[in-house]
Amino acid sequence: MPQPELMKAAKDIQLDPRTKIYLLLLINIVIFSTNPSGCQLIAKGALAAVPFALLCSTGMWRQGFIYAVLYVAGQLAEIYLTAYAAGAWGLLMRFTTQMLSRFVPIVIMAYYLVRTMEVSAFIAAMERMHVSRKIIIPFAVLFRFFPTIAEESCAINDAMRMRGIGFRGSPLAVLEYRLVPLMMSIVGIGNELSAAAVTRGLRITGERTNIYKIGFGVLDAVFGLWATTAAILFFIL
Amino acid sequence: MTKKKLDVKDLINVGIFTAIYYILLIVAGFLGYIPIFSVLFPLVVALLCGIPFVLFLTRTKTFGMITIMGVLLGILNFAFGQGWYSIATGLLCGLLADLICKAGEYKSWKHMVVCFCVFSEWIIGSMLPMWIMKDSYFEMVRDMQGIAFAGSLESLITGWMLVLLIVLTAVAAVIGAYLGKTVLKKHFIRAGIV
Repeated sequence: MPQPELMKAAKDIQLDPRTKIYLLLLINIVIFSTNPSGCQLIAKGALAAVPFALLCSTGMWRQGFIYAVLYVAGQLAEIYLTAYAAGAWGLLMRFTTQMLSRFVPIVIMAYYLVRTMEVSAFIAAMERMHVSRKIIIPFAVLFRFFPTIAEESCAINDAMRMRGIGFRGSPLAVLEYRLVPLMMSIVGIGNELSAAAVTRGLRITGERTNIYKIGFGVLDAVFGLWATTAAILFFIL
Repeated sequence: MTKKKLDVKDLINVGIFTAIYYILLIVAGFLGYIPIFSVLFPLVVALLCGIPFVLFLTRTKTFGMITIMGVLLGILNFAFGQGWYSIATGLLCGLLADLICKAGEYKSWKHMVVCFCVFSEWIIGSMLPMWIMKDSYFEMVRDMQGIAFAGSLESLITGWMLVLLIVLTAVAAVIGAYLGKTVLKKHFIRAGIV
């Protein structure tokens, strides 16, 4: 074990990675896959407030505020407006409110997860749960790569615009000018990543030490209980 | 040549290609809000993902990589609210695809095509609730998307549609695989990536 003072202390309010994953799953199950009515809306709102509180607690005030506005607007519109809408307009309306009140909480929670969770903290937490390394390593790479893919695809977009290649044209051309360069750069980055990982001794089996201190704290209990209570209430009501 | 054990490099490759595959799947998923496309979604995925999958297969030399990819995709689908069926189908299709590729020693092109056909069927797992829990599923869709959408979707969901979907997905996967091979030849081999 490394010395305690060498371990990274929580800079902001940090939850255990396992708590974050648990919260994501709970929000996912309750908000995404159900269709609330009446009193259930209150429980759903309480659960939807979890990502908001988390964002604010890490100082991402702007994102938290935008999320709150989007969710409340979507939910209100879903309750009061969709009943009056019909036809194509109604379909569009339902689609938009569904996206806002159902999809946005999960996306925001996943955004928070990716933004605040260090890959090594994630690995440490998963190892604590005795998940096989054959699942942990690809998953860690996956987490690291979603932002990279977004970044690279933005850069490719810029490059293609400079060459005057837009999104018009056949779908095959889009594949050739967007997907192929993207995959080339991703594969290159992947090769570098494997070299770096091997250099850092990822090949070594056996117990590993970690710079992140993993453990449940008061905040884990608060958020865990908050979300669990909301979820239980949701299914009782 | 087939290697015996999974290496860290293999596992990293699995992670990278799963990421690309899933991003393309999300792109295809946006089509799902047009009623016909929410049923034909597996075809679009099979067509689009041929390119990354064929490139992935050129770097696959070990048994287990395709299985892990299937499981990871299933877990991702579950995490994004598509139900747990995807994990089961991901494991099943991944394992079968892996076995097929192993029979071809991870270099026979014919085996690779069949492997991709089998692998592409995993995504049907995210749609299985439509068939298995038809009544409750459509009640939910009716509440969520309105009667018009649910009606046009429900008329498409029949037993033979599932069979047709499986066959069509396999056909799309063959096209996707050949598309992938063409792109591979045209770009990746020239660039020295393979």
